[in-house]
Amino acid sequence: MPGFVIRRLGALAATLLVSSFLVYGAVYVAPGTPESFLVQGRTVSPEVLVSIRAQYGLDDPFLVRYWHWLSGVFTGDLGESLTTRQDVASLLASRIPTTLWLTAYAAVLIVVFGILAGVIAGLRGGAFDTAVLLGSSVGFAIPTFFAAVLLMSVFSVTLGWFPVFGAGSGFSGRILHLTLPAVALALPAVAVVARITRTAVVEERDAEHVSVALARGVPWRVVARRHIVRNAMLPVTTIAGVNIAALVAGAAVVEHAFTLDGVGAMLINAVQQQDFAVVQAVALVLVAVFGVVNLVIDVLYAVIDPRVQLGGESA
Amino acid sequence: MRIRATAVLALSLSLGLSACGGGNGPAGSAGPAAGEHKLNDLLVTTPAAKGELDKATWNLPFGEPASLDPIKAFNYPENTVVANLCEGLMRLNPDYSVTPNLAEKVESTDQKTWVYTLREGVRFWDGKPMTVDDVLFSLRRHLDSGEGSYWASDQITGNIDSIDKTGDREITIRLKKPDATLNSYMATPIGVVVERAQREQAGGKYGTPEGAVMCTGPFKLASWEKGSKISLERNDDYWDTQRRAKTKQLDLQFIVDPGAIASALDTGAIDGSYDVPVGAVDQLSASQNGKLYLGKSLQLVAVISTGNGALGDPAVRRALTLATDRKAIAQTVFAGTAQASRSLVPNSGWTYGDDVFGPAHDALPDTDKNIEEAKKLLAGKDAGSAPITIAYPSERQFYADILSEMSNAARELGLTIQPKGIPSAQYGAFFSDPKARAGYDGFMTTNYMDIPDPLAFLRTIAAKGGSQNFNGYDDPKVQSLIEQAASTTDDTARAKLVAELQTEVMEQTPWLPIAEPAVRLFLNKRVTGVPASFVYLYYPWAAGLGAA
Repeated sequence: MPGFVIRRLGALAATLLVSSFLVYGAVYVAPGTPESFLVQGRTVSPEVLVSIRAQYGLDDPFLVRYWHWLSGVFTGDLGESLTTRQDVASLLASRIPTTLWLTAYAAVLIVVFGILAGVIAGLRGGAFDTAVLLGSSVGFAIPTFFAAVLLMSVFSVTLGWFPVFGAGSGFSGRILHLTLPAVALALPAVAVVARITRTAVVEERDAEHVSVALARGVPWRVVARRHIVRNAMLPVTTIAGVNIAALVAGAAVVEHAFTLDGVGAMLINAVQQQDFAVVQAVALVLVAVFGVVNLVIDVLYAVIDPRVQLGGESA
Repeated sequence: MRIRATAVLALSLSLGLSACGGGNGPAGSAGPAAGEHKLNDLLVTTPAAKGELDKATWNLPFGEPASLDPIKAFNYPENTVVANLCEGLMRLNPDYSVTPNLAEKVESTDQKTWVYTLREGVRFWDGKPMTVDDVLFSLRRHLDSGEGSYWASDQITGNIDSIDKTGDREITIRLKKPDATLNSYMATPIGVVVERAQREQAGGKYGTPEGAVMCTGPFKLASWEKGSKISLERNDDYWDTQRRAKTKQLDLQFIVDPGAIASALDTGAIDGSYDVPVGAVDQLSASQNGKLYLGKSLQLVAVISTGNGALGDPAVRRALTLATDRKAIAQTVFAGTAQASRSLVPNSGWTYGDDVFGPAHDALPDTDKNIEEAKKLLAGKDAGSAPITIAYPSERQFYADILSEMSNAARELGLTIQPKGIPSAQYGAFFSDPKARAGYDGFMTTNYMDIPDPLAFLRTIAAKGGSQNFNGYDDPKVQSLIEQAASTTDDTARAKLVAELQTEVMEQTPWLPIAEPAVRLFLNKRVTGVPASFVYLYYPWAAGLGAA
């Protein structure tokens, strides 16, 4: 397994390099110029624009600027934000905790409520099953930004249970501030995971080995735990993992709606302002998180089902 | 079509607004019957604070400032914050008067040489006294291209010949050409004084959370948590004891989402905000927790002609302005918080010559939709069959609504308007890059006067080489009026020249004036005391904020 993990990390590094080039290029060719954003649509003289371009090194050729940035990264310098003149590393450091809290909270919700609801629905059937089917359809259909507005209007404005903005501090503060955002963020994923889990459990429940075990007198609780749920977890892990990895990207919408100081909100601004260094740093963080989460899922496969061989046939 | 469909709803909105906005000041006296808020009814201030506050929370609806360096402060977020931290030689007051501030006296006999006597006893937050050297350094920063001042321009800083120390506490600014507006600009970041030593020490990080700034204002910068909030702390040693801040700590948040802004204000999580979103007017005017104030403004929504196509013809521009139902736009698109505008100079946007500018404004063609007159202007003209392409930032729906009403008007005149949404990221370039404007006949703007002086504003639009002269406006008579006015010392005489200038410019209508949005200010019922007029970009508005 260590060999597999190392190879995968190597592939991740290559992915990061390629994607950094692609992102840099995409921002470069995107219409608009950073200096006109710096003055934010105010009319300034051409001389001012020239002096801004010179000040920010915007006149260097594309590859020179990319190389400048890349070599900085290898020495641990992520560069400086164009719009705010702050170190990107310190900008990121101040933003990452919020996004981390938000996505971790949402991930917990997905795992706990998605899988739990799916398992119970699959095992029990009946009215609860119908409720989960119906609820997951609704949950999946509600767009995240709409869920955010709805939750805020009901629970913050009308009932006053939760704060309307900010990410809070300390454990209880974080939980209080991030509950609504995390619910809004997790909702579609909870629905999908619940639905997939339910289907997988139902399939396993009807499988031959389950009937045989039951016929042999193995208690239902044992059969349910060992033969149904554990077998059903393989597809569920994939879908839960992919959804959790996607949370980091989806967090942008929720962070904007709830005014949280996370990296997603920062990415939106940075893209609009063609703030190269910030876009790069956030994009790299997103790619890295996605890669690492997927790696963790693959490793989990082996834990859940020892027959799975990591790294495919060659391993 | 959309305009008509929503007319009834919008009318009821504005009724609710008058009912709730009333009670204090002249806004209440308008009464629901007025329908449209009268120009004179807009507020200048809110009721004075009755007591001190330990802490208040405010919102910056246009987001986090990029920098707090005064010379990079040229937009709502930056200026709204910097105004409380750093001060100019002059001060722009809520009633739009300009009075001495860090300078105690200003003298000029010919509008060309300006002598400022500096005030004694002014100290920076760190306790160091403000020196002539600090003032010289601060003013000269705008002339140093290495500093990259956003305020550098041909008309103002480009007209400065020299800035010198001429006495122990005296500096003299000599201009190349006389300019009566210079003194008003000393109330903007052009006249702001920062501490030289701290500026030099901070280097490239100046104005950032790490580098900060060092100024003399009623508040000092306590902390700046990136992406989250800026905290201001009262400057207890402020030089003007009369105007010491009434609030100990002011937290500034950066909520930009209209729904979230409305919720935060409505629930009292935020105590107040200028420029609340038009979409939140309905909810906030009905709020139990506070009040929506409408204040005197210097803002203007207009269509700028690039000089191309049919819109390049002054007759077409005037006809289109007349045919557009600007009153309906003010009522519906702005939820009754704007007025139809008849001039490019927002009404009451002047510091002098009230007796001249008032009647001159009223003498301009009124804002009633007038198809007959519009058709007369176009009689015998061949405007061609090519559509008039007008660009607007696609994220701003209200521009699309305005253009849809203008398209209706155009159709009645036999013209075609083609609105074209441009992503905001590209739209900014329309104002500084001729290449971005190529292929468009017009583009939308929400503009504001930097200082309440019609001369300064009209000059940017109509003077040769003016910073906002986008259609190559070049008229010898206008040019001579501008120069004459700029060198006239007597206020009334100057006002007469500028009023004539306004009439000349409106004959040409280089921009099509649409609406003048009022200042939309929301205050929680526990706070009061800030100005309601459009001075919060340069005046230390938060100093008056206190308990209601």
